[in-house]
Amino acid sequence: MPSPLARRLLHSRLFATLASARVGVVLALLVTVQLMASSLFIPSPRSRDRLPFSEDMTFFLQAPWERYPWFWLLALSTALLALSTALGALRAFWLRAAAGRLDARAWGVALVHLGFLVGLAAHLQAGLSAGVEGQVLLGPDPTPVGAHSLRVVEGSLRHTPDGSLLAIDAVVEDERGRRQRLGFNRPWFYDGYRRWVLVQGAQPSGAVPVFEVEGTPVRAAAGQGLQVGGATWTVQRVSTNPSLRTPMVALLDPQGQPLWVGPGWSQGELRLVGFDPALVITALLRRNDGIPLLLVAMGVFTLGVALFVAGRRPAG
Amino acid sequence: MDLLFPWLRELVLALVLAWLLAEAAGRGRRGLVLAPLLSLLALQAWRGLQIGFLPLTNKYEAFLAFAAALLAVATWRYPRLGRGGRALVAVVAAAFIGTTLAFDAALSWPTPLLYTGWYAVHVPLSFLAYAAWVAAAADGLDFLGHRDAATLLQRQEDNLRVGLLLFAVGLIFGGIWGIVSWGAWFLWDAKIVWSLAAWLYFAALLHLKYWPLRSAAVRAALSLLGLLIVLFTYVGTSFMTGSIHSF
Repeated sequence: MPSPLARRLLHSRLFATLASARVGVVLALLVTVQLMASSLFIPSPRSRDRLPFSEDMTFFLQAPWERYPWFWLLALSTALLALSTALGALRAFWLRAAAGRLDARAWGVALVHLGFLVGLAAHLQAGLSAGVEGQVLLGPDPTPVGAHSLRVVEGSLRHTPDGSLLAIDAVVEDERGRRQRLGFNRPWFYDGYRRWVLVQGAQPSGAVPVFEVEGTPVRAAAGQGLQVGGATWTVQRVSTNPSLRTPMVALLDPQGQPLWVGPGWSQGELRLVGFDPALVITALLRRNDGIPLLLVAMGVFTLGVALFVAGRRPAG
Repeated sequence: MDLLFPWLRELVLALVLAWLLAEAAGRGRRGLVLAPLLSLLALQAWRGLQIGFLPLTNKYEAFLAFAAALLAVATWRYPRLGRGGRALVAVVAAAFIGTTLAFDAALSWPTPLLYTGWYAVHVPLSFLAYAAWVAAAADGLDFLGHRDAATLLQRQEDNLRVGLLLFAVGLIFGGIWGIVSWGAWFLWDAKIVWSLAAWLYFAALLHLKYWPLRSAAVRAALSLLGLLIVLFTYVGTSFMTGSIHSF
């Protein structure tokens, strides 16, 4: 049983007004009209006076309010719609529960509304945190990405019959040796889905040395140590100087002495087999703290839709 | 095959026009909807096999796919749509198929960002949702043709709800696609803003049942206004605004 205060609140005129379908419908139509009208004021992302790339709302917070009044009106209406939706859904759920009619469809409707509200909250959180943290070139050598270090272990490009680039398929390894495939539409998420590496393009560049270490092929990056019979050989760098007939690798032997080696060179159980073409990926570092909450919202909403569809339709 | 299939578009258009004329003469049949739908699906399947991907890579294919979605919903809802409603669906389908005559029908491959399953789910769901909302507008037109209001409003509500749920799931997939492809699920872009507005509009329309209006004609009129919103969201933002989401 709800407390007397909660019961009084549920039966108050203000609650009834805010939770009413009329107010909800009017607010939804108001936000609809404002969204449509705002499309007239929004500078096209193609224009020079472009708005921020994405969900970013700090752009509007930093500008004088009178410069983008439509945004503030839209924010106000949306906040009222969120309040009305929350109260309306709560009241409908309460009435159904009181009447003992909480079936799958009722739960579905409640979850759809909850998902919508959580989605709005995620959008607000994203608006205050989303942004671009920089651009990186990922190649065969480790590159710092936040607290991580990434390198492209192997990769290939796929083209359409007319020669256009269709897909990038790259295997990326982090500082702990964890590998993941990367490409267009296939980012590398880190920091709990709050940050990710977004592939924008790739091209072949340079060469990656392939060694055979005690019978096992190893694609080595600059700075990587190769363990052979308890001793460590370190790869320093690769030279693809066009005056050379083949790329060469600068190595440090276990005594720390430098030497340049080419394909076919061997020392005990260590042999330089040859070179694979290296792939360099252009990537954008994105940040958005709202992603985890947004995924929750999507999950809740989809579960609501599924329950609603699966639920038996009441007779009449 | 290469010579045969381009003619299918003209065949589909002729079949839709035949359906339209039959509806006008009061001799409409479900088979008359099914024939252009199957022909259109065959044409799209052939194009898909040629490029090895969903045939939604240009204006031509997008318009044909939208017409196919309309015909699919029309076939499904056929017994429940009145003559006026069926004619409205046929007119819209014919307009979309007819417009493709002005587009380049050459095959094109997807750009890298389109080459993903998220796109392949997001767009068809959106088209089916649009089609369901066109069917809701058709119900509205039927109402104006003096059909039974209570039954009609129930059917319209079904169409609105189907469209709303499909579009919501389509938006979710589109949002995920945006995150993994562009790094954002939302852009201040006319197409995306109008898509959200359309979803909200039809959500409001669905909730009108909790606010009994004196005249069901208001709901019928609002559903017809919804048709214009759908058309502007789908076509208008691409051709009349600087949207980066255009064809």
